[in-house]
Amino acid sequence: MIALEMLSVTAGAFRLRGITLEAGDGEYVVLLGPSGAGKTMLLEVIAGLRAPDTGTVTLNHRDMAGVPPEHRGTALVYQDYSLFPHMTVAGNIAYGLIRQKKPANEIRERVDSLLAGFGITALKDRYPGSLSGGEQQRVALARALATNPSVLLLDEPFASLDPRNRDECVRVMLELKEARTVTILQVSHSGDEAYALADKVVVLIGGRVAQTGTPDEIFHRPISPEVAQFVGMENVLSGTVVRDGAGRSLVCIGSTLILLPSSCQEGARISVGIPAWCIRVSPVQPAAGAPGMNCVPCRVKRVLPGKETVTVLLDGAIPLTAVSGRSPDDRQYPLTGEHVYAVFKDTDVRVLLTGPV
Amino acid sequence: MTDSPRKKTGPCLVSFWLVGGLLVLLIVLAAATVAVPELAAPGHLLSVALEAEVIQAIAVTFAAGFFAVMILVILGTPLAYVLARGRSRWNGVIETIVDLPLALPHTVAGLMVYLLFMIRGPLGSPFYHAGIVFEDAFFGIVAAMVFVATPYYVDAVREGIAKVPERLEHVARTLGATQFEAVRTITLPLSVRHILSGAFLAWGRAIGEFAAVIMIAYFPMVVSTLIYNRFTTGGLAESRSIAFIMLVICLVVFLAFRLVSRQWGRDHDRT
Repeated sequence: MIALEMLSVTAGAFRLRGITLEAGDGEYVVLLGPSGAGKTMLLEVIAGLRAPDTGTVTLNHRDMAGVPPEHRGTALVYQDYSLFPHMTVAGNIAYGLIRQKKPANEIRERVDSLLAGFGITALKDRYPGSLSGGEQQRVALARALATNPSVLLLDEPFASLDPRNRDECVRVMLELKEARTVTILQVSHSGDEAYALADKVVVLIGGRVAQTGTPDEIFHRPISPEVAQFVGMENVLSGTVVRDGAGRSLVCIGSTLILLPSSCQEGARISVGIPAWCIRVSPVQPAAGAPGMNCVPCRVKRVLPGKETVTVLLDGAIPLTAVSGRSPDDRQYPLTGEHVYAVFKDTDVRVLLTGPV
Repeated sequence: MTDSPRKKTGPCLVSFWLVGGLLVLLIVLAAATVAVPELAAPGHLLSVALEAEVIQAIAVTFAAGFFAVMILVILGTPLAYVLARGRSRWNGVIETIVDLPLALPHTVAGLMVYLLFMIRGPLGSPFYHAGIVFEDAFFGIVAAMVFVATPYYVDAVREGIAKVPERLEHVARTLGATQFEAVRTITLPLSVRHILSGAFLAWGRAIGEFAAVIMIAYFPMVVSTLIYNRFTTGGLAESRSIAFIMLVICLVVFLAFRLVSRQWGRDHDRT
């Protein structure tokens, strides 16, 4: 269990302020944030390698103030894995057990079972310098888990892996998560990993916690324009709330009116986010009458076909991005310069934090 | 290394070789002017080599050099560590102080060592009362050697330790190592090459010291003192024989060192 309470840390240009965060026993928490947000620094504070300016770190219901790293029961895996280059794979894994002065036969058994568990028995006597990224990552995980830590801190564990290795490693982490024996705090800047692994996501922007929630909440209900932009919501717009004759709330962006899913204070400045995959590009104006349907006339600025999706950049009264799935029997995409309509439901419009923008 | 691409030798590299080769030629020529006449008269060489005074000077030189290096390893390694890891603004000041002997004329260094360690000196006096004398004594030689060799050792080891990522120590700490254990099991083994080469550089500097040594301890004579002594008292041939003996010993030690340091720490070379 990890609990951070109003933690503030400064180191050089990095600055974390008032970080409050909680991870229950066996929970998998992903700390998401742009690079340079001080995420690694936060892990080092939890591990006791760096002292916070203010605030408290509690691990397993014990205040960690003044407790040195070797007595915290945390294991830290850095992005570069930081394997000891002068020790073999087995030597690396045994390191923590040797420090605990475990008997030699017990160490050997534990190392062998970890090697087998991670499928790296064949690498036993190799030195880290000759291992691939994926292999190094497994060794680093095995080494970190050897001493049965209660808290595992992972710093971008998949960042330097190629896609195939990454999928493989995500599977390893899923197994670890499902065992629920260790509380995991993983730093990441990729939403995909968070989706695949996290019970809870904490978004760190500008040295502060911007939002905490389940992956669905973070990715589909970001509470602020910053979070929306960070999680990759393509269409973040701001405008003023107005009301129509039927008493519905709309946001006025330039001269475009967009129906909102819920009632908002009239005259308030708000930001809205519209996920690109919720926008349908239609060559003709859809028949009126569908309740809550937004229909914005646009011009196609650019069409970007991908492997499985096609992205359409629209401009006109407001710039929008639409993404749709693509199959071989798809009809033609819209043409650049064509006049089309961006169609989306009011319930797909996310109202982000209201207030001065 | 073995399959490095063959470079075409152009006029640039040829001219560099011609110019740079002069330095190599100078060293080889200098060694030859000592070696050739000595090897031509092996009888004389042997008689000088077996002189008690010569053997004693060589023994004193190497023993004092060994002591100096041991002291440097014991005191200099921790200093190199804090200098490599520290982020305090005082680090620059300390590094300048450590490097000072590099910039000083050796006679100045010698005078400083003498004034400090002479029987009435601030350090010499308490040691004298404890029964250790530096003036014209073995430990005076060691003191002068340590003084002049410190920057060579500390700088080399500091550089080596700075190259060991601090994250490795961090990981060791989270795996249960105290800071002492992390340094002992991770940082020092990974700096072993720099420690060795620092020790070797310092040793070479120490056994070659002349000016600083004679100011505190003309006797017992180190090899440098003896060569100078024989040179000025008319025995050019004798001083050359001693020089040749030193040349051979140093060459052997140097080659042995190269061999050992190449083997050492080979496993953890990143490929």
